[in-house]
Amino acid sequence: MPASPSAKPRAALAAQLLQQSEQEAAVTPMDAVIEFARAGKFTNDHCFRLLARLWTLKRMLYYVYGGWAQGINLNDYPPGVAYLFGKQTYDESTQEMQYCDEILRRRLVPTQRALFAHPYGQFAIATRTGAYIFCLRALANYPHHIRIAALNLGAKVIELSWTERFAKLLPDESLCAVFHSQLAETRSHILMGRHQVEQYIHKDIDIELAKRLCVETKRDYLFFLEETARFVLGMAAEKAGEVTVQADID
Amino acid sequence: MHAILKDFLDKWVYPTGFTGPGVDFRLRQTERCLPLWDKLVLQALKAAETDLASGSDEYKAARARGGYAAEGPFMSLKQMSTQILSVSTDQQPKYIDLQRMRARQIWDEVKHGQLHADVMLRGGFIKREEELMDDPRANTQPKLSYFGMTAMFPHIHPLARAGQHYYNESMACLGITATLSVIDDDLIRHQLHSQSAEELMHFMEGKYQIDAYALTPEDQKPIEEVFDFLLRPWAPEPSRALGGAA
Repeated sequence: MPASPSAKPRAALAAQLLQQSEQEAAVTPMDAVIEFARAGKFTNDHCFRLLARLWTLKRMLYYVYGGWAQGINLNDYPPGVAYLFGKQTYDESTQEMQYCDEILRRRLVPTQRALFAHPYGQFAIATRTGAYIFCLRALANYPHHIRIAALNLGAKVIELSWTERFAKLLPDESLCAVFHSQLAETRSHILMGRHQVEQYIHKDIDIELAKRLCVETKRDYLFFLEETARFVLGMAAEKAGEVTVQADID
Repeated sequence: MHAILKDFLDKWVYPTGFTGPGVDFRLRQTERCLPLWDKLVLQALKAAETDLASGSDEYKAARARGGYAAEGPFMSLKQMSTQILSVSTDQQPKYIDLQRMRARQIWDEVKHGQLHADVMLRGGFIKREEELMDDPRANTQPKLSYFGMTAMFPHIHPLARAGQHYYNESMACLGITATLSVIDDDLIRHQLHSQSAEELMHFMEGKYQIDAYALTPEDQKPIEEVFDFLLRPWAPEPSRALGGAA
């Protein structure tokens, strides 16, 4: 193989990562939450659990994105890369605030401080949420265009898919609005991921790393969704080996 | 319990110069770790026997690549630097010893990377260490979450890393001892012997930190949560370098 892939293999890599992620996004554990809600069984408590768990993930992303940003050094990339990542960081922050605002608007807790103290809003290390956050934080060890490939063409594609279904199918209008408002941002992150893969993946090793890290990141994200859906629906946590996610690398 | 584990416990885990709540807490966590440590020894023995029976030298390269992925110079700098940063300036009077130990560990870990590279070079698998930087197998770890957890310690607690030190660095010690009991290859033995004392030092750091510093429920909680994570059935498994499958 050539040392520096031409534009064509880079575009092919982006298309391949996207296609694989879209296939994995077709069915996720979050479908069970939608079905439950559409059956009219969604109570205030279910809603609180859902919003609080999604909020917890988003608020932990400050630690991920902060670590990633520190790993982009002067002239590593053209300025556009920094602009786009700044935008993505702010978008995630906006979504974090949206979840918090919706919880407050529904008076599920009286204050933001109370949300931090509520059991539903806790970040626990020994959880799939923790594992996914740690997985993303570990991507700080890799060049920015590779971690963007792993997240924005992997877990983000799955996130967009279930968010679209929530925006379209949830019976509660204000919940639909929350998820609908996030679609443009998440779509832009995926487009940014494709752009960066096409522009900045220059080595064969980068192609392989992007593939491997994308697989692992998606796996941990799908386990996060599994844990979230079970938490929302009041189901027991997964038992060892009960849930498997395809993650063949070699 | 396997004799290798029993020997390790008798020599390094149970003897301590401390008494008090830190030791009590550590011994409670030790009880939780024992089944997994025992399993690790058996797994490392089996992996070493399988490697020997393979009839090929490829296992040496596979172990070295796995080790390089976890302990290569760039990865080591990234990992250990986040641990140094887990002590804020106002906590430095209390925890500067942790920073000193972790500064030493940066040097230890990059040397371990060099030892893995040495196996690749002297085994004839590569001609220059730089070739490893083009090999994805030498640059991806089996579980990202383990390494990312390390990177989150600056946002959790200075003592949280003691959980990883205690649980995982012990696995390094046990894996090395188990492997050395089976594999007689000079390259592998040189690499394992050369890093074994430092792995033991890292384990003892975890032990010391828990015994000496984890004296209150507030200080014990973040360490216990790390043990909770590591002891989950889906938690990280040992790397190929230590006889794991990944």
